[in-house]
Amino acid sequence: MLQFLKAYQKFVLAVVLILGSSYYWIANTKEESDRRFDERLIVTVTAPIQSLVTGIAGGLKSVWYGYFYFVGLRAGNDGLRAENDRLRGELAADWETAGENERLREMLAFQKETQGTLLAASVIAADSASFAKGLRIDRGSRHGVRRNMAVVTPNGVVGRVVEVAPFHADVQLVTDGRSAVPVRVQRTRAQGVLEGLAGGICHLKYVSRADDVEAGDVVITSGLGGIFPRGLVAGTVVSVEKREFGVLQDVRISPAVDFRRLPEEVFVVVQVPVEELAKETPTPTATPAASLVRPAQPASVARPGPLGPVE
Amino acid sequence: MRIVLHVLIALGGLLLQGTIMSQISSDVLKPDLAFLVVVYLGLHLADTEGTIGVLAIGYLADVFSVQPDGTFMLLYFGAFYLAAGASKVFYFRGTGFPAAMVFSLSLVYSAGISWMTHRAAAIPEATDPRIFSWGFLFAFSVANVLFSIPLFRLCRVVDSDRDLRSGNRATL
Repeated sequence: MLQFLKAYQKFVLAVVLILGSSYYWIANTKEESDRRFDERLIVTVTAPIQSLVTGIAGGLKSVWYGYFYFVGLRAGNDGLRAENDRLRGELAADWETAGENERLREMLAFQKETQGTLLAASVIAADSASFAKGLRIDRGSRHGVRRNMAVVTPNGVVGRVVEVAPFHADVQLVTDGRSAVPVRVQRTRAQGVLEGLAGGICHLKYVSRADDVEAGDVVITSGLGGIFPRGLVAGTVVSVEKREFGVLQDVRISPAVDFRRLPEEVFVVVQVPVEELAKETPTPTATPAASLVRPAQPASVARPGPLGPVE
Repeated sequence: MRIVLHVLIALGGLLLQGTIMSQISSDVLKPDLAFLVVVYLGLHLADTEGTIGVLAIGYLADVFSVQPDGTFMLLYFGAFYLAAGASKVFYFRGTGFPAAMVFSLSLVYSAGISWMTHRAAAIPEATDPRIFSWGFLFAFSVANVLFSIPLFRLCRVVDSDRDLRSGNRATL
Protein backbone atom coordinates (compact mmCIF):
# COMPACT_ATOMS: atom_id res chain seq x y z
CA MET A 1 0.00 0.00 0.00
CA LEU A 2 2.75 2.41 0.98
CA GLN A 3 4.72 1.49 -2.11
CA PHE A 4 1.67 2.15 -4.25
CA LEU A 5 1.19 5.55 -2.63
CA LYS A 6 4.84 6.41 -3.11
CA ALA A 7 4.84 5.30 -6.72
CA TYR A 8 1.67 7.20 -7.61
CA GLN A 9 1.81 10.00 -5.06
CA LYS A 10 0.97 12.75 -7.51
CA PHE A 11 -2.02 10.85 -8.83
CA VAL A 12 -3.22 10.09 -5.32
CA LEU A 13 -2.78 13.72 -4.31
CA ALA A 14 -4.80 14.85 -7.34
CA VAL A 15 -7.62 12.45 -6.48
CA VAL A 16 -7.62 13.51 -2.84
CA LEU A 17 -7.71 17.21 -3.73
CA ILE A 18 -10.51 16.84 -6.24
CA LEU A 19 -12.60 14.66 -3.95
CA GLY A 20 -11.95 17.03 -1.07
CA SER A 21 -12.99 20.05 -3.17
CA SER A 22 -16.11 18.21 -4.30
CA TYR A 23 -17.10 17.43 -0.74
CA TYR A 24 -16.44 21.03 0.29
CA TRP A 25 -18.59 22.33 -2.55
CA ILE A 26 -21.43 19.88 -1.89
CA ALA A 27 -21.43 20.75 1.81
CA ASN A 28 -21.73 24.47 0.99
CA THR A 29 -24.50 24.04 -1.55
CA LYS A 30 -26.68 22.26 0.97
CA GLU A 31 -26.56 24.99 3.55
CA GLU A 32 -25.45 28.58 3.49
CA SER A 33 -23.33 29.73 6.38
CA ASP A 34 -21.86 32.95 7.65
CA ARG A 35 -18.43 33.97 6.55
CA ARG A 36 -15.50 32.55 8.50
CA PHE A 37 -12.97 34.85 10.14
CA ASP A 38 -10.39 34.38 7.40
CA GLU A 39 -12.93 35.22 4.68
CA ARG A 40 -14.10 38.31 6.55
CA LEU A 41 -10.47 39.40 6.91
CA ILE A 42 -9.78 39.02 3.19
CA VAL A 43 -12.93 40.89 2.24
CA THR A 44 -12.20 43.70 4.70
CA VAL A 45 -8.66 44.10 3.37
CA THR A 46 -9.45 43.94 -0.35
CA ALA A 47 -12.77 45.80 -0.42
CA PRO A 48 -11.17 49.26 -0.07
CA ILE A 49 -9.03 48.47 -3.12
CA GLN A 50 -12.14 47.45 -5.07
CA SER A 51 -13.90 50.59 -3.92
CA LEU A 52 -10.97 52.76 -5.03
CA VAL A 53 -10.70 51.12 -8.44
CA THR A 54 -14.46 51.31 -8.99
CA GLY A 55 -14.41 54.96 -8.01
CA ILE A 56 -11.63 55.74 -10.47
CA ALA A 57 -13.35 53.78 -13.24
CA GLY A 58 -16.62 55.54 -12.49
CA GLY A 59 -14.89 58.92 -12.64
CA LEU A 60 -13.33 58.13 -16.00
CA LYS A 61 -16.69 56.95 -17.27
CA SER A 62 -18.29 60.20 -16.11
CA VAL A 63 -15.69 62.21 -17.99
CA TRP A 64 -16.24 60.15 -21.11
CA TYR A 65 -20.01 60.40 -21.06
CA GLY A 66 -19.99 63.97 -19.82
CA TYR A 67 -17.61 65.51 -22.32
CA PHE A 68 -16.98 63.17 -25.21
CA TYR A 69 -20.04 61.09 -25.82
CA PHE A 70 -22.24 63.62 -27.63
CA VAL A 71 -23.64 61.45 -30.34
CA GLY A 72 -27.39 61.32 -30.05
CA LEU A 73 -27.30 62.99 -26.67
CA ARG A 74 -29.77 65.76 -27.51
CA ALA A 75 -32.25 63.41 -29.16
CA GLY A 76 -31.97 60.96 -26.33
CA ASN A 77 -32.48 63.71 -23.79
CA ASP A 78 -35.61 64.98 -25.48
CA GLY A 79 -37.06 61.49 -25.61
CA LEU A 80 -36.29 60.91 -21.97
CA ARG A 81 -37.92 64.19 -20.97
CA ALA A 82 -41.10 63.24 -22.77
CA GLU A 83 -41.16 59.82 -21.17
CA ASN A 84 -40.43 61.35 -17.79
CA ASP A 85 -43.43 63.63 -18.10
CA ARG A 86 -45.64 60.72 -19.02
CA LEU A 87 -44.38 58.63 -16.13
CA ARG A 88 -44.91 61.47 -13.68
CA GLY A 89 -48.54 61.52 -14.66
CA GLU A 90 -48.89 57.79 -14.18
CA LEU A 91 -47.04 58.03 -10.90
CA ALA A 92 -49.44 60.62 -9.58
CA ALA A 93 -52.32 58.28 -10.29
CA ASP A 94 -50.47 55.41 -8.64
CA TRP A 95 -49.81 57.44 -5.54
CA GLU A 96 -53.51 58.23 -5.30
CA THR A 97 -54.22 54.52 -5.41
CA ALA A 98 -51.52 53.79 -2.87
CA GLY A 99 -52.86 56.46 -0.56
CA GLU A 100 -56.37 55.10 -0.81
CA ASN A 101 -55.03 51.63 -0.13
CA GLU A 102 -53.28 52.87 2.97
CA ARG A 103 -56.42 54.48 4.29
CA LEU A 104 -58.41 51.32 3.74
CA ARG A 105 -55.83 49.33 5.65
CA GLU A 106 -56.06 51.71 8.58
CA MET A 107 -59.80 51.45 8.60
CA LEU A 108 -59.71 47.66 8.68
CA ALA A 109 -56.79 47.65 11.16
CA PHE A 110 -54.59 45.58 8.83
CA GLN A 111 -51.01 45.22 9.93
CA LYS A 112 -48.27 45.16 7.32
CA GLU A 113 -46.56 41.81 6.99
CA THR A 114 -43.15 43.34 6.88
CA GLN A 115 -41.76 46.58 8.01
CA GLY A 116 -38.38 47.68 6.98
CA THR A 117 -35.98 50.53 6.82
CA LEU A 118 -34.03 51.24 3.66
CA LEU A 119 -30.29 51.29 4.28
CA ALA A 120 -28.42 52.98 1.43
CA ALA A 121 -25.27 51.27 0.19
CA SER A 122 -22.81 51.84 -2.62
CA VAL A 123 -21.80 49.07 -4.99
CA ILE A 124 -18.02 48.70 -4.91
CA ALA A 125 -17.55 45.63 -7.09
CA ALA A 126 -19.31 42.93 -9.04
CA ASP A 127 -18.79 39.20 -8.74
CA SER A 128 -15.36 38.39 -10.10
CA ALA A 129 -16.68 35.49 -12.16
CA SER A 130 -18.50 36.12 -15.42
CA PHE A 131 -21.10 33.50 -14.75
CA ALA A 132 -22.07 34.36 -11.23
CA LYS A 133 -24.34 37.30 -10.69
CA GLY A 134 -23.43 39.17 -7.59
CA LEU A 135 -22.45 42.52 -6.17
CA ARG A 136 -20.38 43.69 -3.24
CA ILE A 137 -21.70 46.63 -1.24
CA ASP A 138 -20.07 48.83 1.37
CA ARG A 139 -22.43 47.96 4.21
CA GLY A 140 -21.95 44.99 6.49
CA SER A 141 -22.85 43.50 9.84
CA ARG A 142 -21.69 46.59 11.67
CA HIS A 143 -24.40 48.55 9.84
CA GLY A 144 -27.13 46.05 10.64
CA VAL A 145 -26.97 44.02 7.44
CA ARG A 146 -27.73 40.32 7.82
CA ARG A 147 -27.96 37.36 5.48
CA ASN A 148 -31.19 37.01 3.48
CA MET A 149 -32.05 40.69 3.57
CA ALA A 150 -33.59 42.00 0.36
CA VAL A 151 -31.69 44.52 -1.75
CA VAL A 152 -33.63 46.92 -3.96
CA THR A 153 -33.35 50.10 -6.00
CA PRO A 154 -36.13 52.53 -6.88
CA ASN A 155 -36.48 50.59 -10.15
CA GLY A 156 -37.11 47.28 -8.44
CA VAL A 157 -35.62 44.18 -6.89
CA VAL A 158 -31.86 43.64 -7.10
CA GLY A 159 -31.38 40.48 -5.05
CA ARG A 160 -30.66 39.29 -1.53
CA VAL A 161 -27.68 39.40 0.82
CA VAL A 162 -25.91 36.05 0.87
CA GLU A 163 -22.65 36.76 2.69
CA VAL A 164 -21.76 39.40 5.25
CA ALA A 165 -18.46 40.80 6.54
CA PRO A 166 -18.13 43.50 9.19
CA PHE A 167 -18.16 46.40 6.69
CA HIS A 168 -19.19 44.77 3.41
CA ALA A 169 -21.73 42.32 2.11
CA ASP A 170 -22.23 40.22 -1.04
CA VAL A 171 -25.55 40.35 -2.85
CA GLN A 172 -26.88 37.57 -5.07
CA LEU A 173 -28.73 39.09 -8.00
CA VAL A 174 -32.12 37.88 -9.20
CA THR A 175 -30.43 36.91 -12.49
CA ASP A 176 -28.19 34.38 -10.71
CA GLY A 177 -29.03 30.76 -11.45
CA ARG A 178 -29.35 30.07 -7.75
CA SER A 179 -31.80 32.86 -7.10
CA ALA A 180 -35.47 32.05 -6.54
CA VAL A 181 -37.88 34.90 -5.74
CA PRO A 182 -41.59 34.29 -5.05
CA VAL A 183 -43.53 36.68 -7.28
CA ARG A 184 -46.94 37.25 -8.81
CA VAL A 185 -48.20 38.88 -11.96
CA GLN A 186 -49.58 42.25 -10.92
CA ARG A 187 -52.50 42.26 -13.38
CA THR A 188 -53.89 38.78 -12.77
CA ARG A 189 -52.26 37.85 -9.40
CA ALA A 190 -50.93 34.62 -10.93
CA GLN A 191 -48.15 33.30 -8.71
CA GLY A 192 -44.79 31.83 -9.61
CA VAL A 193 -41.10 31.72 -8.72
CA LEU A 194 -38.62 34.02 -10.46
CA GLU A 195 -35.42 32.19 -11.28
CA GLY A 196 -32.27 33.56 -12.86
CA LEU A 197 -30.97 32.51 -16.25
CA ALA A 198 -27.91 33.49 -18.24
CA GLY A 199 -28.01 36.54 -20.47
CA GLY A 200 -29.68 38.75 -17.88
CA ILE A 201 -33.10 37.17 -18.33
CA CYS A 202 -35.17 35.45 -15.67
CA HIS A 203 -37.53 32.52 -15.81
CA LEU A 204 -40.94 32.55 -14.15
CA LYS A 205 -41.52 29.00 -13.01
CA TYR A 206 -44.59 27.12 -11.76
CA VAL A 207 -47.05 29.33 -13.61
CA SER A 208 -50.13 27.30 -14.29
CA ARG A 209 -51.22 26.90 -17.86
CA ALA A 210 -54.62 28.24 -16.90
CA ASP A 211 -53.20 31.51 -15.57
CA ASP A 212 -53.54 34.59 -17.75
CA VAL A 213 -50.06 35.97 -18.47
CA GLU A 214 -49.17 38.23 -21.38
CA ALA A 215 -46.06 39.94 -22.66
CA GLY A 216 -45.78 43.33 -21.00
CA ASP A 217 -47.26 42.25 -17.68
CA VAL A 218 -45.47 43.58 -14.61
CA VAL A 219 -44.25 41.03 -12.10
CA ILE A 220 -44.05 41.98 -8.43
CA THR A 221 -42.84 40.19 -5.31
CA SER A 222 -45.53 38.25 -3.48
CA GLY A 223 -44.01 38.49 -0.01
CA LEU A 224 -43.98 34.71 0.44
CA GLY A 225 -40.84 33.31 2.00
CA GLY A 226 -40.28 36.29 4.26
CA ILE A 227 -37.25 37.68 2.43
CA PHE A 228 -38.62 40.09 -0.14
CA PRO A 229 -41.33 42.50 0.99
CA ARG A 230 -44.55 42.36 -0.95
CA GLY A 231 -45.21 44.60 -3.90
CA LEU A 232 -41.69 45.30 -5.18
CA VAL A 233 -41.33 45.39 -8.96
CA ALA A 234 -39.30 42.39 -10.08
CA GLY A 235 -39.57 42.63 -13.86
CA THR A 236 -41.66 42.58 -17.01
CA VAL A 237 -42.88 39.61 -19.01
CA VAL A 238 -41.13 39.43 -22.40
CA SER A 239 -42.44 36.13 -23.73
CA VAL A 240 -44.97 33.47 -22.89
CA GLU A 241 -44.88 29.98 -24.36
CA LYS A 242 -47.57 27.36 -23.92
CA ARG A 243 -46.61 23.97 -25.24
CA GLU A 244 -49.15 21.52 -26.57
CA PHE A 245 -48.82 19.42 -23.43
CA GLY A 246 -48.02 20.09 -19.78
CA VAL A 247 -49.70 21.89 -16.91
CA LEU A 248 -47.30 24.84 -16.79
CA GLN A 249 -46.37 27.61 -19.18
CA ASP A 250 -42.92 28.97 -19.95
CA VAL A 251 -42.62 32.66 -19.09
CA ARG A 252 -39.50 34.77 -19.58
CA ILE A 253 -38.99 37.93 -17.54
CA SER A 254 -36.79 40.94 -18.13
CA PRO A 255 -35.61 42.16 -14.70
CA ALA A 256 -36.71 45.60 -13.60
CA VAL A 257 -33.13 46.58 -12.88
CA ASP A 258 -30.72 46.79 -15.83
CA PHE A 259 -27.80 44.63 -14.71
CA ARG A 260 -25.78 45.23 -17.85
CA ARG A 261 -24.40 48.21 -15.99
CA LEU A 262 -23.63 48.03 -12.30
CA PRO A 263 -26.08 50.03 -10.21
CA GLU A 264 -24.12 52.60 -8.28
CA GLU A 265 -26.36 52.71 -5.26
CA VAL A 266 -28.75 50.18 -3.79
CA PHE A 267 -30.90 49.90 -0.67
CA VAL A 268 -30.88 47.04 1.81
CA VAL A 269 -34.27 46.36 3.37
CA VAL A 270 -33.41 46.00 7.04
CA GLN A 271 -36.09 43.74 8.48
CA VAL A 272 -37.65 44.52 11.84
CA PRO A 273 -37.78 41.41 14.10
CA VAL A 274 -41.23 39.93 14.60
CA GLU A 275 -41.04 40.54 18.36
CA GLU A 276 -40.61 44.24 17.77
CA LEU A 277 -43.54 44.27 15.36
CA ALA A 278 -45.76 43.10 18.20
CA LYS A 279 -44.44 45.77 20.56
CA GLU A 280 -44.66 48.79 18.25
CA THR A 281 -47.80 50.36 16.90
CA PRO A 282 -47.21 50.79 13.19
CA THR A 283 -47.55 54.38 12.09
CA PRO A 284 -49.95 54.89 9.18
CA THR A 285 -47.34 56.42 6.94
CA ALA A 286 -44.27 54.41 7.89
CA THR A 287 -41.48 55.91 5.86
CA PRO A 288 -37.84 54.97 5.96
CA ALA A 289 -35.69 56.65 8.57
CA ALA A 290 -34.46 59.82 6.90
CA SER A 291 -31.08 59.60 8.63
CA LEU A 292 -30.26 56.31 6.91
CA VAL A 293 -31.33 57.25 3.43
CA ARG A 294 -29.07 59.29 1.19
CA PRO A 295 -31.17 61.50 -1.04
CA ALA A 296 -30.24 60.87 -4.66
CA GLN A 297 -32.29 63.79 -5.94
CA PRO A 298 -33.08 67.28 -4.66
CA ALA A 299 -35.55 67.34 -1.80
CA SER A 300 -38.20 68.96 -3.96
CA VAL A 301 -38.41 65.82 -6.11
CA ALA A 302 -39.85 62.95 -4.07
CA ARG A 303 -39.01 59.66 -5.75
CA PRO A 304 -41.23 56.68 -5.32
CA GLY A 305 -39.36 54.01 -3.40
CA PRO A 306 -40.22 50.34 -3.41
CA LEU A 307 -41.79 50.68 0.04
CA GLY A 308 -43.22 54.12 -0.40
CA PRO A 309 -41.97 57.57 -1.19
CA VAL A 310 -38.30 58.04 -0.44
CA GLU A 311 -37.50 61.61 0.48
CA MET B 1 8.65 32.29 -3.46
CA ARG B 2 7.53 32.70 -7.04
CA ILE B 3 4.25 30.94 -6.45
CA VAL B 4 3.23 33.81 -4.18
CA LEU B 5 3.70 36.15 -7.13
CA HIS B 6 1.51 33.93 -9.29
CA VAL B 7 -1.17 33.98 -6.61
CA LEU B 8 -0.91 37.75 -6.41
CA ILE B 9 -1.30 38.00 -10.20
CA ALA B 10 -4.44 35.89 -9.92
CA LEU B 11 -5.69 38.06 -7.06
CA GLY B 12 -5.11 41.14 -9.17
CA GLY B 13 -7.11 39.50 -11.93
CA LEU B 14 -9.99 38.82 -9.55
CA LEU B 15 -10.00 42.44 -8.43
CA LEU B 16 -9.90 43.67 -12.04
CA GLN B 17 -12.75 41.41 -13.08
CA GLY B 18 -14.96 42.65 -10.27
CA THR B 19 -14.29 46.33 -10.85
CA ILE B 20 -13.08 47.69 -14.17
CA MET B 21 -14.21 44.81 -16.37
CA SER B 22 -17.66 44.87 -14.82
CA GLN B 23 -17.92 48.55 -15.69
CA ILE B 24 -17.18 47.80 -19.33
CA SER B 25 -19.62 44.95 -19.77
CA SER B 26 -21.43 42.43 -17.63
CA ASP B 27 -20.76 39.29 -19.66
CA VAL B 28 -19.53 39.88 -23.17
CA LEU B 29 -15.81 39.14 -23.66
CA LYS B 30 -15.08 39.15 -19.92
CA PRO B 31 -12.31 36.61 -19.33
CA ASP B 32 -11.53 34.74 -16.14
CA LEU B 33 -7.98 35.91 -15.37
CA ALA B 34 -7.53 33.74 -12.29
CA PHE B 35 -8.53 30.72 -14.38
CA LEU B 36 -5.83 31.64 -16.91
CA VAL B 37 -3.20 31.71 -14.17
CA VAL B 38 -4.36 28.26 -13.08
CA VAL B 39 -4.02 26.96 -16.64
CA TYR B 40 -0.53 28.44 -16.82
CA LEU B 41 0.42 26.66 -13.61
CA GLY B 42 -0.98 23.41 -14.99
CA LEU B 43 1.00 23.77 -18.21
CA HIS B 44 4.30 24.86 -16.70
CA LEU B 45 4.36 24.28 -12.93
CA ALA B 46 2.45 21.05 -12.36
CA ASP B 47 4.25 20.17 -9.13
CA THR B 48 3.75 20.73 -5.42
CA GLU B 49 4.35 24.44 -5.80
CA GLY B 50 1.71 24.73 -8.50
CA THR B 51 -0.75 22.67 -6.50
CA ILE B 52 -0.42 24.97 -3.52
CA GLY B 53 -0.84 27.96 -5.80
CA VAL B 54 -4.04 26.56 -7.32
CA LEU B 55 -5.39 25.83 -3.84
CA ALA B 56 -4.80 29.44 -2.83
CA ILE B 57 -6.23 30.86 -6.07
CA GLY B 58 -9.34 28.68 -5.81
CA TYR B 59 -9.85 29.77 -2.22
CA LEU B 60 -9.57 33.46 -3.15
CA ALA B 61 -11.92 33.05 -6.11
CA ASP B 62 -14.53 31.53 -3.78
CA VAL B 63 -14.19 34.47 -1.40
CA PHE B 64 -14.77 36.94 -4.23
CA SER B 65 -17.83 35.15 -5.57
CA VAL B 66 -21.38 34.60 -4.36
CA GLN B 67 -21.24 31.01 -5.59
CA PRO B 68 -21.06 28.33 -2.87
CA ASP B 69 -17.59 27.95 -1.40
CA GLY B 70 -15.66 25.23 -3.13
CA THR B 71 -17.09 25.96 -6.59
CA PHE B 72 -14.01 27.57 -8.04
CA MET B 73 -11.59 25.48 -6.01
CA LEU B 74 -13.04 22.35 -7.60
CA LEU B 75 -13.15 23.88 -11.07
CA TYR B 76 -9.61 25.18 -10.86
CA PHE B 77 -8.22 21.89 -9.63
CA GLY B 78 -9.98 20.16 -12.49
CA ALA B 79 -8.54 22.61 -15.03
CA PHE B 80 -5.09 22.42 -13.41
CA TYR B 81 -4.87 18.65 -13.61
CA LEU B 82 -6.36 18.49 -17.09
CA ALA B 83 -3.77 21.00 -18.30
CA ALA B 84 -0.99 19.16 -16.48
CA GLY B 85 -2.00 15.78 -17.88
CA ALA B 86 -2.47 17.00 -21.45
CA SER B 87 0.78 18.96 -21.47
CA LYS B 88 2.78 15.86 -20.54
CA VAL B 89 1.68 14.23 -23.77
CA PHE B 90 0.92 16.93 -26.31
CA TYR B 91 3.17 19.86 -25.50
CA PHE B 92 5.10 20.91 -28.59
CA ARG B 93 6.87 24.21 -28.77
CA GLY B 94 5.68 26.86 -31.18
CA THR B 95 2.42 25.16 -32.10
CA GLY B 96 0.14 27.36 -30.08
CA PHE B 97 -0.58 24.47 -27.77
CA PRO B 98 -1.15 26.73 -24.74
CA ALA B 99 -3.73 28.74 -26.68
CA ALA B 100 -5.49 25.56 -27.73
CA MET B 101 -5.46 24.35 -24.13
CA VAL B 102 -6.88 27.65 -22.90
CA PHE B 103 -9.66 27.49 -25.48
CA SER B 104 -10.64 23.90 -24.84
CA LEU B 105 -10.35 24.18 -21.07
CA SER B 106 -12.49 27.33 -21.18
CA LEU B 107 -15.26 25.32 -22.83
CA VAL B 108 -14.91 22.58 -20.22
CA TYR B 109 -14.79 25.18 -17.45
CA SER B 110 -17.93 26.88 -18.74
CA ALA B 111 -19.75 23.55 -18.98
CA GLY B 112 -18.61 22.69 -15.48
CA ILE B 113 -19.80 25.89 -13.90
CA SER B 114 -23.06 25.65 -15.82
CA TRP B 115 -23.67 22.19 -14.38
CA MET B 116 -22.61 23.23 -10.89
CA THR B 117 -24.90 26.24 -10.97
CA HIS B 118 -27.72 23.94 -12.03
CA ARG B 119 -27.03 21.54 -9.18
CA ALA B 120 -26.74 24.33 -6.62
CA ALA B 121 -29.90 26.10 -7.79
CA ALA B 122 -32.73 26.71 -5.35
CA ILE B 123 -34.98 24.62 -7.58
CA PRO B 124 -32.56 22.31 -9.43
CA GLU B 125 -35.29 20.35 -11.19
CA ALA B 126 -36.70 23.56 -12.61
CA THR B 127 -33.44 24.91 -14.01
CA ASP B 128 -32.42 24.55 -17.62
CA PRO B 129 -29.00 22.83 -17.44
CA ARG B 130 -27.93 24.60 -20.63
CA ILE B 131 -27.82 27.97 -18.96
CA PHE B 132 -25.40 29.46 -21.41
CA SER B 133 -25.63 29.63 -25.17
CA TRP B 134 -22.91 28.18 -27.37
CA GLY B 135 -22.23 31.64 -28.73
CA PHE B 136 -21.51 32.95 -25.26
CA LEU B 137 -19.25 29.99 -24.46
CA PHE B 138 -17.34 30.55 -27.70
CA ALA B 139 -16.94 34.27 -27.00
CA PHE B 140 -15.81 33.55 -23.45
CA SER B 141 -13.22 31.04 -24.69
CA VAL B 142 -11.92 33.48 -27.32
CA ALA B 143 -11.67 36.22 -24.70
CA ASN B 144 -9.67 33.87 -22.49
CA VAL B 145 -7.28 33.07 -25.33
CA LEU B 146 -6.76 36.75 -26.11
CA PHE B 147 -6.07 37.66 -22.51
CA SER B 148 -3.87 34.63 -21.98
CA ILE B 149 -1.24 36.05 -24.32
CA PRO B 150 -0.19 38.99 -22.13
CA LEU B 151 -0.97 37.14 -18.91
CA PHE B 152 1.18 34.13 -19.76
CA ARG B 153 4.03 36.47 -20.72
CA LEU B 154 3.65 38.19 -17.36
CA CYS B 155 3.77 34.84 -15.58
CA ARG B 156 6.84 33.86 -17.59
CA VAL B 157 8.56 37.04 -16.47
CA VAL B 158 8.09 35.76 -12.93
CA ASP B 159 9.59 32.41 -13.98
CA SER B 160 12.15 33.91 -16.36
CA ASP B 161 15.25 32.41 -14.78
CA ARG B 162 14.24 28.80 -14.64
CA ASP B 163 13.37 26.12 -17.14
CA LEU B 164 9.72 25.41 -16.85
CA ARG B 165 9.28 22.02 -18.46
CA SER B 166 11.92 19.36 -18.94
CA GLY B 167 14.54 21.81 -20.17
CA ASN B 168 12.30 23.51 -22.75
CA ARG B 169 11.25 27.08 -22.25
CA ALA B 170 7.57 27.53 -22.80
CA THR B 171 6.38 29.67 -25.69
CA LEU B 172 2.89 30.60 -26.87
